[in-house]
Amino acid sequence: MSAYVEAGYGVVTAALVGYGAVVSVRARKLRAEPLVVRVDDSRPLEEGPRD
Amino acid sequence: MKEMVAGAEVVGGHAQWKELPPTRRRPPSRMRRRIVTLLPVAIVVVALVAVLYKGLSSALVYFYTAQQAVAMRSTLGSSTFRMEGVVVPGTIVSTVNGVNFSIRFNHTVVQVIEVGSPPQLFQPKIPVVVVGHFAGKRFFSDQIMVKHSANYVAAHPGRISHAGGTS
Amino acid sequence: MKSDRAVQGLGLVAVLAIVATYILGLWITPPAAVMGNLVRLLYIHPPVAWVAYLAYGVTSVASILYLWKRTRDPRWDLIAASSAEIGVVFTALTLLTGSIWGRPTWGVWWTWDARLTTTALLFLLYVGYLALRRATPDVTQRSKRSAVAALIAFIDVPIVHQSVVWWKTLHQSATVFNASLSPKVHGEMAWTLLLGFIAFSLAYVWMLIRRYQIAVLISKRQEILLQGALDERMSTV
Repeated sequence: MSAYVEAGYGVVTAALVGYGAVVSVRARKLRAEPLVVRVDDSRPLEEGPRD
Repeated sequence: MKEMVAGAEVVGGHAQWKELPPTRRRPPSRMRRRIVTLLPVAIVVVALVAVLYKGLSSALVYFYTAQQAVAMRSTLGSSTFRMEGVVVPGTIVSTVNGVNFSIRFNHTVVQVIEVGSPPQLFQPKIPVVVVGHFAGKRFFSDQIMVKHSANYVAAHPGRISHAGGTS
Repeated sequence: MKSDRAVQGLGLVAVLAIVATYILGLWITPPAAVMGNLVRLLYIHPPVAWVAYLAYGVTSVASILYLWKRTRDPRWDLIAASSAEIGVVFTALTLLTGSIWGRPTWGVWWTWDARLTTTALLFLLYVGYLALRRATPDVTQRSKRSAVAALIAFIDVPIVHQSVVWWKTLHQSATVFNASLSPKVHGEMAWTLLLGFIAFSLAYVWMLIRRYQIAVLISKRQEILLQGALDERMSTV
């Protein structure tokens, strides 16, 4: 097999695997992180929601 | 039981400072922020202009056919340009510096003196683009580019895959 | 989640299709008459370029749907941006695989012919689109501006495709999507090329869904952070 053929398939595979991995890891991380606003962490719970 | 004293939350007598998201010590100036965000845009614009310039100067008339080149020989003079034609079978002669051969477009034939090694697909009957200039009736080239057709046929149709070929 | 299972399944099918393309392309198909084994790059280079066109097509449609007031929805903007990013990845791959193919067949890594020049232009136009998005902080302004930019950039797509017809190029003319729509490839080579087109298109759809999900999560997060900051302000006033 030609080294050029290997290089071509290699570049495509690396890009697809790389992009696919970045996208799925990022999606998983974002979904795992709870959607809270950090500023509110110090607020005691019994206060209830603000209006 | 809560009152606000200048950003501090007083709960049960003692003040608790609220945690705010971390900010940079000195917020970047408006000017600097603008530069940081617009820099990529500016780089892309510069690159676009450069590519457009290249495109207009080179891509619009990428090559002359051998026929056109011969017709324009007097105006082309000794300027460098690209010329296209099909390698005439039986004319390829290897030399010390490269290879001599002729290319043909319709009925016009031009003799090419190439200095440098031709690409691996270079062979009789293949269309090529040569880069160089005229000297008299001959064309002195320092680069051959092989123009592959859009057709793909198996090397040995009807046979099982063959391990040969360009590698 | 059920729909997430479906996306995972789609990803798996895409991977299998690509693996099948590789096996057929690298080992089963015969070497070609002039190119020999170099013909094997045929099974990846045109499909990758096709996905770039497809991605920019989706970006354009989504941008139109955003700009048209009756269908305006922030989600169209997110789809447009996600698809453009994937398009840029595939345009880069088109340029790279083309360069790798050009060196042994043409004899040069790069030449300024019309096809190559307009493709480089295409890459830069959509990198510019992504840069413009980052440079515009206001969401509505960003969406509108980038939708217009996407439509301007798309003008280059038909130019790239027709460049081999309109100008004299070193690059060959279209093998599959030519004027007579008759592929100039033979037998199993043609089937492998077709599989390549399908496989990479499936990979694109999977990538688009995943990238869009990220875009939605990020924009929701920004909305909530903004709302939180507003609440905070209100409570201190």
